[in-house]
Amino acid sequence: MERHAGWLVSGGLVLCIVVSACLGRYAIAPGVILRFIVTAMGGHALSPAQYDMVHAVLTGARLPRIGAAVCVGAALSVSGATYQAVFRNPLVSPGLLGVLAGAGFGAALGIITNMGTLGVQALSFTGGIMAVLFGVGVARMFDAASVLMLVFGGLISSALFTALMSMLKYVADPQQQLPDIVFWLLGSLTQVDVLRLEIMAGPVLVGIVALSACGRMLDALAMGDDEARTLGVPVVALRYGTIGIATGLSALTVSAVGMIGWIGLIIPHVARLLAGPCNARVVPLSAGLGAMFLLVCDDLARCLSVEEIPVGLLTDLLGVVIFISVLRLLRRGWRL
Amino acid sequence: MTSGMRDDQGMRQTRRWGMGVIGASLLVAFSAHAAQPQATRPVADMTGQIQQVPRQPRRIADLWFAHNELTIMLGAADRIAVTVDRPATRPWMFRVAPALYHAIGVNGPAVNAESLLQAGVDVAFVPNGSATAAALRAVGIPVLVAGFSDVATLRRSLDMTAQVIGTAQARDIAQSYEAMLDRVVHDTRARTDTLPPGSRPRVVHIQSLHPLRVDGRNTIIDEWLSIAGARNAADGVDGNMKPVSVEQIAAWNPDVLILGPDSGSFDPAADGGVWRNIAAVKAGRILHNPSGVFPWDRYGSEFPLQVAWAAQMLHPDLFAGTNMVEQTRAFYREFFHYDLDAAQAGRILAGLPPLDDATGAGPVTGTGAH
Repeated sequence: MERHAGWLVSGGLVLCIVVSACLGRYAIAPGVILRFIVTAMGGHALSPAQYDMVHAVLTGARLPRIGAAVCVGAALSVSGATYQAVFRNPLVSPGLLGVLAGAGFGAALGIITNMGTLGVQALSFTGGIMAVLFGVGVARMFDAASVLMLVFGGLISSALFTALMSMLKYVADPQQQLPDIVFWLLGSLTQVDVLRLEIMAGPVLVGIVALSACGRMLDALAMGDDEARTLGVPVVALRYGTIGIATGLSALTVSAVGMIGWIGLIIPHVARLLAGPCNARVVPLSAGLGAMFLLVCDDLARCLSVEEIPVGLLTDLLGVVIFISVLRLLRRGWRL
Repeated sequence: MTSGMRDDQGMRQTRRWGMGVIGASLLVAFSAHAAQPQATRPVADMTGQIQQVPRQPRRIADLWFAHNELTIMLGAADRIAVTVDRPATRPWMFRVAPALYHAIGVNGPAVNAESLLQAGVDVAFVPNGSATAAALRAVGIPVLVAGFSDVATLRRSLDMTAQVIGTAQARDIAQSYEAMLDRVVHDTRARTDTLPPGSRPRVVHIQSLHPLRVDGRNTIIDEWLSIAGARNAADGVDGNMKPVSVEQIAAWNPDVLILGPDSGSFDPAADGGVWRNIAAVKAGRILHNPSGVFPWDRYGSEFPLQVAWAAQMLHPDLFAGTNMVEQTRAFYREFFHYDLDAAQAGRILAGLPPLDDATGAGPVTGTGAH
């Protein structure tokens, strides 16, 4: 099972992408998609009007969303797996150092100051990074090398930026701005377009590859700082470097689609169940599983009802179900 | 006894005197209040709950965005002491009723009860399900739920508000308004009822483009669309401001898109060109909703104007004689006692704010400044 997990997950992800491309509120039968492909290759299987509409729905609405779900799910899962390895704690998620609270604050600020969708995204990303820098700064005031101090710094940063975000919610115009902030906080892929996907995809891919490449060193770090040092691992540089990349991934994805919880916490556990504890395998496997999980959740979010369901709600609900389902196995694995 | 101990004793005595003076002042204040009880009368609010309101309320806290317009229309703008509306978001409201600049601006219907007491508020209007109502009643402020969601409840809310204001002018305006409302609805229906189902365009009303939100069934939007001879194309959506995907709009393929006044800028090339393939966009039938004292499309007293505008825009042949500029000017003259010129009426119809905001007064944000 452990040997074939990568192939299974890759195959499952491809299947999910194909099925997702056929699902949506605008009914496009699989046969129409095949005829669309034939027409796109120079045939005349669809009328020009039909072709234009299917082309617009697939390339303008559906595929960017599928791409975004894959990117965000993979990035959050890899980020979570990295955090759990660095902090040697199975209950850690990417929000530990305050990136989610900071991104929320930045987004709320962007909405209140009418910065437009890209402006909101930029401010949200900046807010997420600022929050983590603040948390790390607090940790460095006391003990730069201590993991515990980093956790405390993250707690303080999260509390500060959550309070600042609440303040912005309080002063927001309750008719227009407040619903927009709430909708953003619930998380949704509905606003993703090709431009946003292009902005996000490159850095996410680079980040996932970089963190996967650090898997062996993260394994060494799991044995303890001193043991890792004797194996030649630059402990502090690795810790801050991987946290920096993981935080960048979280901030980038959260700023594009809003708050999406649970993925960074539970998907790495599922990956460990499939592939064992070796981070060199867990990190890339988490990417595939996270992409699949968010893709399925987003399919439900856009297809279950006429109204768009915030995907953050579904990841929370399904995340709880999955967490309960694997809890027994997790307890055995982590000896809790 | 040392000098330090003497000082200490002196301070304690001064403190006792201070407490005594404060206590006596409070007693006098409460006695005065009790000695001159305000004459009250019972009024039933929108939930049917009877509230004892002052015979002549002088300072009103209007804590529902849509209700301020009713109070202004009934000639009591100068009695609004606390408002949730702001000049930045409702510029025409403050232009038509500059007295609102002297009201205390609060952010949303959740207010501090003591702030309202400090502002001398003697009656408060709140929306349905207000979490503040109990706290306000606890400090003795009569609170009336004023929320409305369709024409029938708009009329009831208007009648209730006129009763609370308690002037003959308010009652006359309410009667006159309701007669006009009935007339507009009746006359419009008389024409649109003759339309066969195929001639009723399918309309999607977009409240916000980013994020994409539309209005569905059981809303006042659905009501005016029906009166104006249209069908709400947002099948399966129930209620106001519901998020949907652009793919869902493509699936509905409406004949007409109506963009709410605060919906944001529309780009037909957005979302990979999905919009360009929708029937309404292909036919160029994208309408921008007017916005005056309150957005016409939402819950407000400009509902008759919205009906007339929508009917004319959706069925120009059937309502060829409608002059919306003149109709708007007449409505503002009669019900807001404000003379719009043709250019101003044109800006309202285009959903634009007044050209300049030179009112000579600024918003008051601190408590007690009135």
